[in-house]
Amino acid sequence: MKFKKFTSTALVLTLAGSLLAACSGNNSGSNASESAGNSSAPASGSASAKPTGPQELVINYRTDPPALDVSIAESSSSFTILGAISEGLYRLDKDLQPQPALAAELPQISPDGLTYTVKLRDGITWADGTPVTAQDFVYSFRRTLDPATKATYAFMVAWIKGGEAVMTAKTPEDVKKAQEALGAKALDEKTLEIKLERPVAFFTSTLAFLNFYPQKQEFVDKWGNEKSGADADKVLGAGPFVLKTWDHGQKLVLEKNPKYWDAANVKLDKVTLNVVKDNATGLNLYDTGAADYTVLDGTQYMQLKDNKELVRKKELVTGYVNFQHTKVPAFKNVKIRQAYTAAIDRQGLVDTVLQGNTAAVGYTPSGNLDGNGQEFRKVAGDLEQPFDAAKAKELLAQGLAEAGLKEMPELTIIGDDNGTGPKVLEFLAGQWEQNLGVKVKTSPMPHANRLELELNKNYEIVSTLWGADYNDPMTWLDMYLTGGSFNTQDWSSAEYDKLVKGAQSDTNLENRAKSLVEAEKILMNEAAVSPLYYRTLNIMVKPKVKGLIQPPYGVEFELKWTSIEE
Amino acid sequence: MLKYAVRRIIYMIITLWVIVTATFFLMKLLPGNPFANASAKLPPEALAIIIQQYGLDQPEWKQYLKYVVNITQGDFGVSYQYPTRTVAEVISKSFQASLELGLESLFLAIIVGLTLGTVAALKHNKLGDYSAMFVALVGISIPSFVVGPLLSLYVGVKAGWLPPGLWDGPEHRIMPAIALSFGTIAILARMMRASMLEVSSMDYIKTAKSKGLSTTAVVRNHMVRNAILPVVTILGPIAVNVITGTLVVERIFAVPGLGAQFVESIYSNDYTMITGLTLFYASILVVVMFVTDIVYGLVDPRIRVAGRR
Repeated sequence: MKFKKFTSTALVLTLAGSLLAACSGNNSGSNASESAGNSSAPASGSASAKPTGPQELVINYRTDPPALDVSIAESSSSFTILGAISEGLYRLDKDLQPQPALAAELPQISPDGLTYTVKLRDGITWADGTPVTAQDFVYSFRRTLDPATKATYAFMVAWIKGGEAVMTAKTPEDVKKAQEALGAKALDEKTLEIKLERPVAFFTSTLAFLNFYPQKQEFVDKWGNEKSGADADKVLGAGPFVLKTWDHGQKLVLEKNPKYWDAANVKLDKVTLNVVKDNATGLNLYDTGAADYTVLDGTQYMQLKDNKELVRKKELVTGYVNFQHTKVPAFKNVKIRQAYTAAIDRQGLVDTVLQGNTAAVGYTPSGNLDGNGQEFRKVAGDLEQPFDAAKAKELLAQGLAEAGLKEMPELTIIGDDNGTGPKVLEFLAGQWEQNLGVKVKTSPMPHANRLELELNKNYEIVSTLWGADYNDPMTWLDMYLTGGSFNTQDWSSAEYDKLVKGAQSDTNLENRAKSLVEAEKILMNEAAVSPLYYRTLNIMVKPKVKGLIQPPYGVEFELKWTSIEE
Repeated sequence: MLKYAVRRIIYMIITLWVIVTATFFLMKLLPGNPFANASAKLPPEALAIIIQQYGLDQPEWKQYLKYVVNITQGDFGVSYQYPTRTVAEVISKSFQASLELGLESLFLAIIVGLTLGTVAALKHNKLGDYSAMFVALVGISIPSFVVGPLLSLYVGVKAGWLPPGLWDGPEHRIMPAIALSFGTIAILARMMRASMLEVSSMDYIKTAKSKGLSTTAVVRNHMVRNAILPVVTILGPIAVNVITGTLVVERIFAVPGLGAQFVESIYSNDYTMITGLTLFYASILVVVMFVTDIVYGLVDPRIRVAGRR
């Protein structure tokens, strides 16, 4: 009798289990069979002759995008998807040059570099078929700057004249007033005028960035700030793809947007992005053919570094060390800082701990443009103190004498506790002990913890990272202006401030680029910051995937020009 | 019985309130704010306004009161990590996968675990016992973060029998369920064995045997039936454990479950999500424990009598 009860319980459990399986199976059933049917040709034939096989791409995506709303998005995982389903006035091509997208041509820039006038392309529409107008851009900027939108990645929009006034307006009435005074106007349906607070040399490229995408007011109002961008049906773009499915935490499916102005040049019919957070799982899926794109970690890179499918993307990200001058007065001495920098074997660091990355030779990473059409690093050259243990020791002795100190106190270096973070700290402490004979304790901690101590200047030495927000040396160099919120080491140089501030308002691009090189020279000569490495993202991509652009900053990949050739 | 149930429900509410309160204030000790990363580039006045918009500039006791009032109305707030989704939406979406995976693995564990335990007890100190207990020992000592990747690599990639991850069709359910059930199988098998051995030395078993009942009848009607009782008590907590999601197994097989949400919410200071999830976990545990006690009372007459007294 009891046994019967047990069997029936078991039965109920089985039934419940299979019911659930059936339910969720139904949700995704159609998609599953579609992606399984990779081998059978899709119904829609591609117009172009070149691509062969089904134009379908499956990507292992490491993070579920937090929100697909133009104003609210603040991370690369959102930027990448929004870049596929929407578009700005310009879109960066494979050489990171802005190509007219929703704009008909490059902007007309006033001689003082402050006013940008842009003609919109004819016949551009939202994915719902309604026209995109200049007013949609104005609305978008106003909404992003409105404090009620709670946009945390809005600082670039605040470059528009009067932008900061909107962001800091206290009452809804003040916000409205400031919004109307904002330097962005629709001169007519098809002409947009943007006035800047001060000249921004690279502003045309910035207009390709998500912050400057248009938004359709009617659509956003329908969902409100609370729900806009929350689900597939609450996202509206004017880009090459539309978001068909968004199964939170599981997958996103993009399909070609037939109403896109350049649909003829969009080859992919369907892109599936499966959320796979674990790199090992990602590689397993890639190996079984269930994914065409997966990101590797350091260990996987070492195993696959000779593989032909490996793609190495140099990101505009620098890992570096800061020395806090107020907590450790010894670091006010230039020679002591130089000694701590020269004592680090940066090549050794990337050979032993951070395999696959590049050793730093200056603060601005290689690949970053100089704002004058050239690569900054190539123009500026190697500026950082080279690794030289003997010289480091000498510098330390001189520095200690200058500062009137006998020896360095025992210091603590903080850094992130995930991934290779702790190993980097150990390596640095080892280098300083071995090459300078100074003791440094390591203290790895959770990211949020490290960031808070860093921003509150409550550290002695910190190992940290910075990524470019835009492709110009300014994203690296304006951080170290006296009093800047990321100048956490309390370093200050009047000459440096003069150069960077001068560059900020300089409309002569050649002069501007020169000033910025000079500024970095000061930064490096004084060892105000000690750059360690430039980050590289290692990715496996199936050879059949062609034209997948992987920009070094902003978005993880650019899908518009991608095709499959089997 | 009714009085007992009412008393238990009141205790449950108090427990949950204590948990919410403790979590709320502990969480405020976490360093940083939910928008630390990108927001540091904003002008400080603009950031101050955003913090104000979220009500995070209020004194903590005020925030706490507001939060408690809101949850009594079923409003758990909006996640900071996913600013367009409410905590309730995120939890209910992620819980679907975790619940399904948990029930499947529990079902598997019950069948395999109880069978192993029964076989081991019947073949006490013989080969069957040793092999069953060896399997249980392996299950208990190899953690899921070892079993999972091994399954994914060998069964998924090398043999190619099952997909090494993702969560689309029924074929995606099998490996994570097996990986998750390993530990549970071991616990259930050992418990069932011990319980069976205890029962087998009882007088009523001897009586049954001496009456000439077949071994099958004795085992089925007298031994298993009695031996399963202690196992039922532990089933409640085990069920909670497997259905509330597991960070490791879900991550390895790319299951969109609840496990990762908890860890990520803490790392990103997602205050509303942390309290929401803690409350959710706690409620499930408390309710299941209550149900287990009630069910146990129904199954075992001795408890029922004690409860009445």
